[in-house]
Amino acid sequence: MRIKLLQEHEHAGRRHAADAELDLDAATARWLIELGVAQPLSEPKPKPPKEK
Amino acid sequence: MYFSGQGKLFVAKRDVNGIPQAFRYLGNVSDFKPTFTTDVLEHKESSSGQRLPDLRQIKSKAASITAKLDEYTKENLALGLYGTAVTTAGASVTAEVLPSALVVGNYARLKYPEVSAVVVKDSAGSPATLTLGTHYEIASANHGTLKILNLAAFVQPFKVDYTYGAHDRVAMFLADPDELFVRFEGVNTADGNKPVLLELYRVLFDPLKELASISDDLGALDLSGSALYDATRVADTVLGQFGQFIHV
Repeated sequence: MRIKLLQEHEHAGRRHAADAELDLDAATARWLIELGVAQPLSEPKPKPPKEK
Repeated sequence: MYFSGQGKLFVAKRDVNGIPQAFRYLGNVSDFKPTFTTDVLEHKESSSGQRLPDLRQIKSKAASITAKLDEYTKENLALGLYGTAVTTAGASVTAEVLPSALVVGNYARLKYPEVSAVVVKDSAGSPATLTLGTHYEIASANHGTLKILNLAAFVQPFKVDYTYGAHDRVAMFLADPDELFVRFEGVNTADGNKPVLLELYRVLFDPLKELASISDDLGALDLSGSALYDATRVADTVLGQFGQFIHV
């Protein structure tokens, strides 16, 4: 799950500034969102299949 | 005139011209002593049959100071530990890896103190979450310490998510010591609290010889250092080149 940090955060020993975007497992991402540390980024819409 | 001193001790960094910058009060100082020594060449005569001293030649002069700082402030610790004092705001951590092969009864240290909202997971492909009070306990939230209670079938190493609070940190031997201007603003309690002023222009403190951490008495930071010749005050016949004592 892709999130955007709202404040500084450290993941796996690496510090990330606010506004950084991270790909995390769903449980960790939800935990950060509930804490107010991050917000979810909308998933890109799947491209429509090409017409033949 | 008798003397019994009390007062406040300040230090300041010096600019390139030896001028003291902003002073910092060191907090309560229960003992402060400048000491002075000379290295002397003593010669004894060889004619009387009694080898009597007939010459004392001063080879060098030196001044040093000791100060017992009662307050363990981050700035005083940084001074005595050649460190850097940093105030860290609270923030969050995910996936902090604990040491592998932990066994029941082991304690694990988190990187930051004042922890809360702790979640411990294992390293399985689909990570399992350990239960607080069953698999681990927070031995000290203030210090950031976990204790392993039950390993079940979890896959190590464990990874921890948590938040931590604001704290002051002094990392040791992180910085070269500054040469400091030392200023004692005192009173002579044996003479009606008349003000006295003592200044040492250029002092280099040694690192603390010890950091009293467990004791029955109040701890103190025992600083010692050397007063150095201040070349920015060459041949100053009023102020001297080391320091001065003033009866105000």
